[in-house]
Amino acid sequence: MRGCRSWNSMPLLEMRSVTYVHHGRTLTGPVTLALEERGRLAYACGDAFAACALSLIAAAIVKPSTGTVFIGAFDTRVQPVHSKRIAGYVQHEAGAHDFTSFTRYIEYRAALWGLPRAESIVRARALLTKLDGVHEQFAYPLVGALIAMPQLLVLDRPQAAYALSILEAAGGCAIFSTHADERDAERFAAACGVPA
Amino acid sequence: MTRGAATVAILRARLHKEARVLILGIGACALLAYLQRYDGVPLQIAGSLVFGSLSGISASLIARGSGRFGEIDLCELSAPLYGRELARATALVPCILASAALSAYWTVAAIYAHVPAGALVLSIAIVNAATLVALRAGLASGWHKALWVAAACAVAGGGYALSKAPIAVAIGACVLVGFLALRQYGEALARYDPLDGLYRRRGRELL
Repeated sequence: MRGCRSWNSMPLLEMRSVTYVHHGRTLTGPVTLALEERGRLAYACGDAFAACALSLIAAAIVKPSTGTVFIGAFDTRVQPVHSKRIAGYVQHEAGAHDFTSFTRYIEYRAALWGLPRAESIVRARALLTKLDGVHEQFAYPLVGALIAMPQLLVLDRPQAAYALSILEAAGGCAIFSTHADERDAERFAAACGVPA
Repeated sequence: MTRGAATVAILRARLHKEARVLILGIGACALLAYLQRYDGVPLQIAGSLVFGSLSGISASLIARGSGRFGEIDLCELSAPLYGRELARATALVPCILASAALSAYWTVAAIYAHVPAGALVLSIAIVNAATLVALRAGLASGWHKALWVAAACAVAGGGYALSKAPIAVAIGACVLVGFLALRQYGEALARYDPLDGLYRRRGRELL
């Protein structure tokens, strides 16, 4: 844990010279950024793979090849489980095809996050009503990520058309989104009303 | 809520997806048992080990890294679960598949002749040990993967050779191999990079 800075001044997500290297080729980064609590950041990565990799690194699912990532007070390389309690992740072209119904999907997510089943289903249905008009292929995983009430929501290449619905559903949660190019990032940021 | 709920949820989700593989394994083992109904116990053990190990190894190979469980994989990896919890829950699925296939074999065999309890327990222990060794292959690629599959086959073969030894020794050896394989799988899972498999399967442009 970082002890040198107080919690109030600490960014919720901080990346320092983060890269992702695959067989000697640097595919992502170096990336340095900071996102405060309740902040919004749409980050343009250059291509789809880099966006996917950076979002997975920001959600503590993938460890960076070099550099350091902090989520809240936790270094994702050292304390990935604690980091994952803070961050919720929604993948690109996500879906819940492996489940027979929305309720089953929420039950599954609730069990993985150690949440009360009935309460999670009620919360999920309430969140789903806020996402009216959003395709279920995106809405279901988004609701699945939000039922754990994460402080940070990480989105891999979300559509700008869904930006307002995402903001409404996410509430005060900080949002970090990665995009394949600048144009996508600007469109999403503009829809959210924040700088890219 | 206990963390056992996460294990149950992972089991349910994965077994639901693997229902067809489960039925296929059970059907194949039941058919083999019917074909071997007049054979002696050593031949029946050999037959059950071959088909049971094949079921377990196949289930292990597709358990992770194959892309078959893409969404479930990513969901599990994004959940706040420790590597050992995830490894145990994931390892249970192919073990259940292999054990179900073996149970079908011995159930059909028991219709035609007396089945020694020792043979039944030993075959389940050997097949589960081979299945746990094969799990590691799902996280590897290239010749590493082939090596782990070969190791799993060797465990099944070695287990059969041990069937002539006292049963406690044979089962003890299988438990030890299974335990070490599960630990190795847990460590590999902690180092596992889902992007590596994604990149190998789909390439940078296709993502």
